[in-house]
Amino acid sequence: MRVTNNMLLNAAVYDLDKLRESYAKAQAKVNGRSLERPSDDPVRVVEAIDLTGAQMRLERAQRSAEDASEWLAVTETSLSKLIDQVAAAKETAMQAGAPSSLEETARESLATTIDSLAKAYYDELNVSHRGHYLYGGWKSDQAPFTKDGTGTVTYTGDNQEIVRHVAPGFEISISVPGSRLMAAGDFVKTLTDMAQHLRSGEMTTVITDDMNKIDQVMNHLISVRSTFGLRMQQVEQYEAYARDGLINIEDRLGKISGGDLAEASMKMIEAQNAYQVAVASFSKALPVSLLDYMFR
Amino acid sequence: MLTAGVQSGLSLSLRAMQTAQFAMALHTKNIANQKDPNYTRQQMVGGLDAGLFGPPIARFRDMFIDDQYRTSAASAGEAGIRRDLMARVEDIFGDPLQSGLRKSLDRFFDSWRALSETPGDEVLRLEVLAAANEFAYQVRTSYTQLQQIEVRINEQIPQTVDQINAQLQAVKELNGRIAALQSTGLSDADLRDKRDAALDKLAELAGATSTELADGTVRVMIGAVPAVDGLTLTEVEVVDGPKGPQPKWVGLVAPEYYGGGTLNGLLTARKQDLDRVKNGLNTLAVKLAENVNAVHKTGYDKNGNLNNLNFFNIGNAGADIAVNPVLLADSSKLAAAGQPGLASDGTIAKQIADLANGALSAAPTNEDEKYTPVNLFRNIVGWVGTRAKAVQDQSDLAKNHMKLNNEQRQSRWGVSVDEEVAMMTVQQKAFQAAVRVMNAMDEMLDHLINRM
Repeated sequence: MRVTNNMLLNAAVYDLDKLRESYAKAQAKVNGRSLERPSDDPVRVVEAIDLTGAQMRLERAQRSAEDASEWLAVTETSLSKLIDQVAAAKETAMQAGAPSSLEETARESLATTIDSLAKAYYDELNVSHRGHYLYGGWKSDQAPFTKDGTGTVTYTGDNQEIVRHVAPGFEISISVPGSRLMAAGDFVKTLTDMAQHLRSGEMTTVITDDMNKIDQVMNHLISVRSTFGLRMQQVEQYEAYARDGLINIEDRLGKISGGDLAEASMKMIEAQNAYQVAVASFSKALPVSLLDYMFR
Repeated sequence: MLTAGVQSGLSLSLRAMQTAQFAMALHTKNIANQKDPNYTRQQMVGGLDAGLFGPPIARFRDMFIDDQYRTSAASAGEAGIRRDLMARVEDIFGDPLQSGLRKSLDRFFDSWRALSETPGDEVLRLEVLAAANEFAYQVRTSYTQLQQIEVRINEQIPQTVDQINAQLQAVKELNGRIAALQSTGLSDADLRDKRDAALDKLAELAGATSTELADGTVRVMIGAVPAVDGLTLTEVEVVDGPKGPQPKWVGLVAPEYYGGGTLNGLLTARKQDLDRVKNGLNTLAVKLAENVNAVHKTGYDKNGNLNNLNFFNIGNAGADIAVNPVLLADSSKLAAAGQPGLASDGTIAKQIADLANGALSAAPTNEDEKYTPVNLFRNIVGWVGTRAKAVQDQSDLAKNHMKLNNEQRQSRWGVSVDEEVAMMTVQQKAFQAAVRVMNAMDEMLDHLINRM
């Protein structure tokens, strides 16, 4: 083939361009940016978009799960307090069955205990955490229980459960509306009545009817609390899933967008060497022609 | 008889000297033009003859290589401009991992999700508004940038048409001058170089092809129309079309303008590439805004009021979309609740957050509306990436072809300085020999005239 000086020059310029381009690409990869524009690799770009979207959803789920854990723990503690008070009431009722409790002073002392338990129980029903009433349902900004003169408690809250989105597409309830606590009867009223019975010496009622009511409330509260225990386990599980998912996603994203740093820097050095060699050889070869040796 | 021989020998050697000088001048001309990509190497064929203007000159041109070169120039012109334009579209979407639009879309839904769980939180309300504002801003900016690209295309179309007309004019004029030289015997090589350069340019701009006619003129075809036919010229003009300026043949009702090259690249980019992205983005923004509005209107604000407010002001298209200023001014008017007076009611916020997982339209009127917002965005980016890569590949391929063809051209008719210098030495020797001969003749004459 006939080769002219211009052809040599053009080929040199073209080859140098190509080498510079591959050097720039290798360098970008070292800087952790192999996907600078959608056309770099459309399939991976789309995958990256999916992954970053999933990443954000999992991060949100993780935060929701942390939040859910906090509320579940607070509620469980509060339920335990209620149960403790019910247990204390039961113990008091059992003491009422003992013959020594027939004394009026003894009865009065038991009644006082029950009064204070009733008050503590009522206060716990209106407990709040970070400005939200635990048992108000969605009406979390107002105290959900009110008490009238006779000791009858009325629930004025909402009947819906507050939920947290602990995994994409999975919600978990983090509250129990007060109406459900009342499902086994108005315990404050029970206690108020019981104090009345103690004072008037109706000991049989105390150890039969009142005791039955206490047991019912006790069983009910324990079953409510056990659902919270289950939920806490679930939340922990989903939190772990989210954590694993995030690690997987970050790993994959790293592979898609950056890749192996050692490999990338090796490639960059290779490209750099190729470029330098080409520049050096072209600079020696190009300027020579027959004119340098003839007509001198 | 002898004297006549000596005299004719003198004039013969004179012609030999002149021929050598002429050939050297031609080599010098070749060397002088070696950097001109349009220059065709010239060589003297046969010697100088009495009665002619100059010696016959051959031009090392090959029509077959020219045709190949122009075919790839047309593809390169078309793919090249589309590549440039798609690269700009890509710039709008930017780094897919860091892209502002995608991030703001995810953040928008995420902020509603957060609000749905703690609807009473003022900070989360502000976050929803900030995220929505950012999303609207990103949509507006992207859409405006797409419109700017369209404006650039619409500016470039008349400019390209002007260039095409200028080259057609040049070809027609050169046709005239070349035809006039045909009978004189003068060299038309330099004029032909100019015409070939114009034909190369026309191939790149409009995908024009050419055929040489018997009288030395060429016929230039663009699509099915002979734009230049010998000495007649049909120019292109720009008229208003449905999508903006549109090329049309002056004085012809039919056929419609159809060609290749840069001009066709511009038309295709406007009609196919840009429209797809613009429509997709518009569907994404407008449908999403409509859906959010529909849900938001049914919600109750922080104070339990049903305000029936739009969340987004939509306007005409993606370029106008903005968060309702009433909400920006008073975040408590944001409707997150489905019922009045429930502080932890985030039903509406949850419904809006769930829009992320639903199709843009329940009764889709086009393909785009069948997807969720994020998936549509992802499809658009995927489409832009694939299309940009396709035109990049086309452009690379055409450029490679052009490079190969150009090498063939250079190899065939490019100037090699080494070669010219070597040939010049040959001519130098021929000149020296002719001088020697003349000297010998002179001596012979001297002997005849002075020593007899």
